[in-house]
Amino acid sequence: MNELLASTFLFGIAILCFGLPLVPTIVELGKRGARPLSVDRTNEGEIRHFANTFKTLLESNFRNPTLRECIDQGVDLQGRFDDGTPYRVLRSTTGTFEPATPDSRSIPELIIFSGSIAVPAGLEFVHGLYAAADIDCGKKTVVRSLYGASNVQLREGAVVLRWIHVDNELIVGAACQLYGRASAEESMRIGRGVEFERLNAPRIVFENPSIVTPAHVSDSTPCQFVKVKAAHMAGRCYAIDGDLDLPPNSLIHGDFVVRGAVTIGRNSRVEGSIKSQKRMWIQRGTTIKGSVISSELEIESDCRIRGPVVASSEMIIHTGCRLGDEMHPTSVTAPYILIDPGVLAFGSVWARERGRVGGLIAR
Amino acid sequence: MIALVIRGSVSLVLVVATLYALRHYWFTLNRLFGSQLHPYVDIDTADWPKVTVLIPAHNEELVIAQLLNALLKVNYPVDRLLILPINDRSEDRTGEIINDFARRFPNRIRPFHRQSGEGGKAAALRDAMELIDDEIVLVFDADYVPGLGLIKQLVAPFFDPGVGAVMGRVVPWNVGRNCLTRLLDLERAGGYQVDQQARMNMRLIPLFGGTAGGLRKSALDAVGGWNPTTLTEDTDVTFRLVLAGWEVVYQNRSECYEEVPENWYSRIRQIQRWATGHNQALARYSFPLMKHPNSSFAQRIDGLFLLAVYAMPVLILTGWLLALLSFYIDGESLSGIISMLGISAYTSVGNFAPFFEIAAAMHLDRTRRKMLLIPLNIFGFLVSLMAVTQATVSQILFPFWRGSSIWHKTERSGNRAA
Repeated sequence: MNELLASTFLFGIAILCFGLPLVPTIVELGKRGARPLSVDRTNEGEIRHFANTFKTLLESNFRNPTLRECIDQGVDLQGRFDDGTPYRVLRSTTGTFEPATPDSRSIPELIIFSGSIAVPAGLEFVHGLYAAADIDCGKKTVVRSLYGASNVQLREGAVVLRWIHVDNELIVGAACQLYGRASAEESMRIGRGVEFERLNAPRIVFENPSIVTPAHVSDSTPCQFVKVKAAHMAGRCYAIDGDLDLPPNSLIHGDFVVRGAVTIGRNSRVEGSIKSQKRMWIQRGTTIKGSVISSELEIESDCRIRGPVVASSEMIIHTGCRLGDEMHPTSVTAPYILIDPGVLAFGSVWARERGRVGGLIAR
Repeated sequence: MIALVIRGSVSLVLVVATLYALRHYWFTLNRLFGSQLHPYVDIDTADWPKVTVLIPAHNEELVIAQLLNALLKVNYPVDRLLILPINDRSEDRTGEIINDFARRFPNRIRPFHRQSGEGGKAAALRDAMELIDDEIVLVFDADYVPGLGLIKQLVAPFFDPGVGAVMGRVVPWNVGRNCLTRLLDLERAGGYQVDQQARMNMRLIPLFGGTAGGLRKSALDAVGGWNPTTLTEDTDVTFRLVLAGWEVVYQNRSECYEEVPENWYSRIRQIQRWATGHNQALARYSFPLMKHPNSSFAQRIDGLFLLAVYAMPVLILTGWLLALLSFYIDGESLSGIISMLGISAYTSVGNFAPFFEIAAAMHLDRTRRKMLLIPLNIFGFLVSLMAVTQATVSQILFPFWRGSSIWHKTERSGNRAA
């Protein structure tokens, strides 16, 4: 009997030792309603996503009066949204924003400006800002997020922490920092020394448009057709083993996949796309009708590229370059992007890690 | 002499299995701590090219409408997106449903009713390709549900002239149905979130999965088009493209829901089909890949491992049997015991590599509670082991038996995710 008891006990202990670690597994398996991995199927990668969500949030919190009525009637209001966020709707008579406590630099409420306004230098807006008309943010203003329904100007050294969206034009002064997304429906002017991540507008001018030199177009420069030694892959695509070094004023037709480094001589013309698996150097005045893909990329001054420009490590773009055009907006993307003042881009410029206008990028 | 042969074989099995385990660990560590490569996902503005979406559909009345509705809503220029559902000899209402959509959206949906010809997805795709003029072709199985931005994400890599194929991430949506679907959810997460993305990061060979992905038509034509003689046309295409110098790109952020098998019978048939097809690709492409001048050493080795992945269960099972045999024949000697211990040690530790991979995927997906289910994966592993071994052995022993090369469609439940 004792032996039986001992065996049973041993068997029980063994079951316990094996089974106990599986208890959380069995409990988890027994739970009903396991859900699939959450995939945001509505996310289109749209740069305005946060701005649209913010505007929807505002509109849903103003029912009587509505947000539009508040703005049109120029009422002053304050209170809390359903989620507890404090807000103020302000109609300035002087055209200048005055904090509730003059000594405080930090504005704890979500602010809605119903008219044109100038914000004094050095204020910090902890919550979002909504400007129904033009807004001029003074030097070193810090905003978490800003929706401008008209024009927005950020003065020197201003910082945007999450996103900024403007329905008309966005002017960003020197040495501002734009974290996250910056978008404008009409155009964007980005000053020297600005650091950025993701920019999007039909027209993005780096530095003051008055100093943008018209991009040199090599269409009028006589180019000579160059036959490069390449293996035909398919369609109009060719592969080149090793490096490709095109002399100045070259003309090539087709899409090229180069397994080495690429140098495109000045004033050349590529009637297609080009990819380098290493470094690419595009010299002054070159025109490329398709896309440019590379590991490291340097585009000298006055080049014109129509298709997407992608570098998997870093990209330097010199003054006078045009990326995309009005009819063919495009994307320029790399982890690190350094753009000289005087570049014109149409579409998106997206530096996954950091982008900067002029100077050097601190990694 | 026999004992020596057995011990040698066991050692060989151990070496190969350990290399596979190390590869899994390497991928997982790369995914957790390495730099991640998503070069094309930031292309959000472009002069988007014309695209045709192919939907092979054989008796898909339960799911086809949902996919067509989803495709009609995607964010892509309407005049540049053609939807071409292939009603592949369906005997249910699939053709009727497709016709109804085509009638309502005549400029956007062009149906192709395939009444005869060879069976199988590859044959259907091959016939449909003759109707296409667009350079970019996307393929979705009928049970897939693309999100609004997916088409642009899958098209963006084709701005790179060297890209021949693109693959997105597949996410099961019928997870909560039963134990099997939950296990498959873990397996898919490990395979895509870790395996595929690590291959992308390390510039190896991500696999084009034949759905939720796309191809450059001129590249596909140049390598001979779809191959209806294989059971895994996707693996076949992947290696033909790579051997012709094209890149295959994986986009982990291009996620698309799919339905996974809800019963073990379907699952076993599915994995046996994959095993047979993969083994066909192994026989066809392993030597050309080894000799391929434009592939790096790492690409060749990993490519070989990828092609031989369904040979591994057979190898492991053989290793177990040989180790047992070794123990009984040579059990008194030290080397016999070492053989046994070696296999036991690999089985205990080496097999954790895929589980580690799955756990890493859960961590990256921030679905850590699912990690609790990982011990159950041993059952999935054992079922796969037996199913794949059976498929491989019958493929070797009866190479001309048609049963091993018939394409079996995976059953749909039509259950919708919440």
